[in-house]
Amino acid sequence: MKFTREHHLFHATSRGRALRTALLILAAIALMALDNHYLALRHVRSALLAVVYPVQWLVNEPGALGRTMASDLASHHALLKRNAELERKLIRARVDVARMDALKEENRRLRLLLNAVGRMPGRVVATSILTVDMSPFQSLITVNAGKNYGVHLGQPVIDADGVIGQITHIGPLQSQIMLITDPASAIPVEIGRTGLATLALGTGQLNVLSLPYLPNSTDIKPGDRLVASGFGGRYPRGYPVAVVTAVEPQAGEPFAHVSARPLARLGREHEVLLYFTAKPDMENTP
Amino acid sequence: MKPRWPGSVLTIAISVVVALVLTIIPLPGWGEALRPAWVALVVFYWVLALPERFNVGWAWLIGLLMDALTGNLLGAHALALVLVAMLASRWHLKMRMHPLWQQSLGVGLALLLYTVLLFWIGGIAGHMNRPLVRFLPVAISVLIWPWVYAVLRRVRQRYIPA
Repeated sequence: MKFTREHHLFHATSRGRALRTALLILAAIALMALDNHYLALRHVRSALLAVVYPVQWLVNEPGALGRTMASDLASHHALLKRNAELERKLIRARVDVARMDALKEENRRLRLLLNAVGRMPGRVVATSILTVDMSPFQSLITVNAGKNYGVHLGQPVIDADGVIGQITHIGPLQSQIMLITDPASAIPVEIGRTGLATLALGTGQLNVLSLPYLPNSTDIKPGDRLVASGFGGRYPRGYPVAVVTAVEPQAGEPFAHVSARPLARLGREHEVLLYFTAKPDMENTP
Repeated sequence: MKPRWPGSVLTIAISVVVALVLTIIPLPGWGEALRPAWVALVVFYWVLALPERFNVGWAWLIGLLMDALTGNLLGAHALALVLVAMLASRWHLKMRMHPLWQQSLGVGLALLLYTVLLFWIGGIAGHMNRPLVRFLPVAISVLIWPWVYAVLRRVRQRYIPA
């Protein structure tokens, strides 16, 4: 006998071989059915993600090394210049924040007057991108934070300019994000200027979102900003999403063709922000 | 007794990891649509070369890892790769006799089925697909097969004694 017993599973007679293949096929189909309809397999997926982490690390590492070296090699002068520029930006940002604080306070008082529940502020955590998968049928990025950071399913991911997407799979050390441009993605948005709510769907192209549910008569024009409407409770309300690029009313059809360009720097970043909502205490709210 | 097992397992594992890396390594936009089905090619080769040691069971496991890696429905690539491995093991005796270009035809057929299956599963799972773009990698894979074959054969002869 050439093979020891523990290899028995993978070495069988020809009838056994056919049976084994049939079983594997059935197992694969059963897995897909489970995975498509339930969350039951998220622990299995998490374990598999742990196994493939080294592969993603391998893909990412040369790039990360290159970036480190590039910044090491950047000249002293260039760094000084950049530093000065960043400091100017910081001052401007601080002025904005100070103004924001005043607005926030005013908003809080107004909300109290209206007896409405205030929006809870969120917390963000920066994480670096491991791999990017931008095929025409999928826009998926993997980031270097998983269960170890308390990441949860459906969690929104943003950058400084806009919404990036949401967490769809979580591993122990990494998680995968479906971008808002993924063909399977739909994000509830509202037109900033008019407050009209609609959905923005992914198209598979990194710079195009489609808004297929706007009637021809809708008040919308190129340049309008779209912000997350917060419907569905997933994306942070009011956070920028996209800017409208084209509006083409369709004669003879109920809906116009409207497309928009995402504001987030999709696919051009090394870091993204995970948005943690401080959950409002539902039990205590009447 | 287990002679030369560790060596062959390690060699195969490394080749699979390389294939997985090539599967997710970023390419510029147009390159994305042309990326060969690296993992399927590697699986096809190992079943062809070492049908007793590398078989559908391994193909299934590798497929599962691929599903996790690419964020697909768990089981999709497992199923598709089992199909590829099954065809390769059916054909392995015949294939060894044939010249490379005829092998390429076999590879093309297996990858066509692989792609159709994944396409179909994607459709059921509700993903939007652009069919033509999806089949370009099959053609690229067939074209690249002779090189994959040559490289892996060198690797096998070097690291896995017959």
